[in-house]
Amino acid sequence: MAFGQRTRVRGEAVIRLLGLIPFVMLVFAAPFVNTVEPRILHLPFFLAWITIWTILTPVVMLIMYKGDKRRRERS
Amino acid sequence: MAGAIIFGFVVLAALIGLLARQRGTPDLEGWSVGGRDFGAVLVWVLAAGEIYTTFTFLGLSGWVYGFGAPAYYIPAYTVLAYVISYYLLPPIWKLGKRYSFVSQSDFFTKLYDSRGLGVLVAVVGIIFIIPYLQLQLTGLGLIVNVATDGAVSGPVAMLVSFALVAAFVYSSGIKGNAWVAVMKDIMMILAIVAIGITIPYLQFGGIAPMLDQVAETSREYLVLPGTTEDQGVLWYMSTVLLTSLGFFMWPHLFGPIFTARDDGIFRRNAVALPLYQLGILFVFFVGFAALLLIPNLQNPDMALLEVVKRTYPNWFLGFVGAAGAVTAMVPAAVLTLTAATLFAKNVLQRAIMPDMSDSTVTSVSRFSVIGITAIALLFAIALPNALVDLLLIGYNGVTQFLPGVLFAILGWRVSPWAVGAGLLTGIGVTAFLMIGGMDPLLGINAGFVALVLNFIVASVLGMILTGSRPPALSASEEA
Repeated sequence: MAFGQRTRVRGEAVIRLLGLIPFVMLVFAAPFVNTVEPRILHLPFFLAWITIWTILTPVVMLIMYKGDKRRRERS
Repeated sequence: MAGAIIFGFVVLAALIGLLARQRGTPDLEGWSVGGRDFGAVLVWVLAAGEIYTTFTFLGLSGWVYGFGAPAYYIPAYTVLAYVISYYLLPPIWKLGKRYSFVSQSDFFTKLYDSRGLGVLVAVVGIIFIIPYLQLQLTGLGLIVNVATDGAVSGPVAMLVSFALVAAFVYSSGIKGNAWVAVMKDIMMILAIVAIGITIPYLQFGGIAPMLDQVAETSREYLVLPGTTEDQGVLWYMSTVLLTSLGFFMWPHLFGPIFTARDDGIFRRNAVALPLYQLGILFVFFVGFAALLLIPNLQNPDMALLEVVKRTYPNWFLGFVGAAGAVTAMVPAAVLTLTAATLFAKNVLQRAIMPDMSDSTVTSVSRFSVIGITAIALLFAIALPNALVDLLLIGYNGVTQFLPGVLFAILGWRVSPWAVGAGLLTGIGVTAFLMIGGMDPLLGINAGFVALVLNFIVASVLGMILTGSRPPALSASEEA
């Protein structure tokens, strides 16, 4: 494998890091979202935040899946 | 009435399990991992089976009712467990396919080339499975007892339903489990969504008015640490990390990984499975409703059933009770099958009777189902409190398998002694902190502290002991 090709494959592997986003949002954001207000659709903010990321995580995962699939097919 | 409905559904579940039986006498690969031929749906319900359990039903609503916000860790960690599965499961599956693994212990035995480590992993797995199995039994007994207003006693319900579980696990193996799991998930989600929406409407005129009332009268429940003193933000963070990392380390979730037909299934399921966790929100609604309607319950785990009892006619209570009962049977079936496989193949054959033929191992596995069910029944009925400490340690305990699994997947050169020492350190520290009342430790989940120490011990010893053995086989290596 030529050097240039290898860096490209590695560069594309970066897409696999998208999975870190849900961790940042659901774990590391906790100190900033631990509040009752503002309430969203009457839900306390923290619970609404978790619900929102339950819905957005599949979106993030889908983008990662698509990119990762393209990468795997090429290599 | 309710009793008859529950009985009907329990028998139906058992029939579905029995019908999934394959023709002829199964071999161990067919019985334990379905001949590695499961498609997306069966792999899905096996991986999700652990989410909608008796615990979700009674325990989570009880947590919301009793503690409030610390229960937020459950929807958060379940979503993240599937994110992790995207990375973790395909390489585990590939190795399993190449070396014909049927259990977690097989994975350790082969990749660390160590019979001793394999036996240790199997024994630890079985030790943590038994109390978990007992918990499913106890939950089932409680549900049936309450739903029938005491007409059916807990022990009778446990005996009948677990005899049926043993029967379909014995005859149909993991395939029976998976089909019953399909029925269970449908019932469970119908039940949860139905009561999560209708209870607020019937009792408060809607979900929004109920949420407003909770925010007014019980504000402290809605943010960490809820009504607890020590389950604050740090506890939440460490617990979510620990439990999401540990989810697939349970032997009964690790084993079924090998049932999949190909590894793409895991990646596709990982995209959609987090959405499945939205159902948990409705359990929160039920918990909130109970909080407002029936404060001062003796046993918070009864919150869901008590609210249902107050809101609906008896037949509906029967349906909810049936969903709860079937929900206990499915994880119980997978737990039993896993423990039976570990016992027959990874303990008995590997450590005690190496001459056992493969067909004998299969027979012993299947008969062990009866023995393991009997042991769990004995504990549940006669010694309900004997295993409480073990149960408490369970989740944190099995998570300690993680370093060994990760090192193997990454193909790192680590001695089995290092992994074993890390594992025992992790479990020892967990047990010491939890039984000693030091959980959380400085606000951090004790299991997380133990996992960090486990990683340190395994890595440091791994560096010292390297070279004494060939490198672990990695998934990236081509066969």
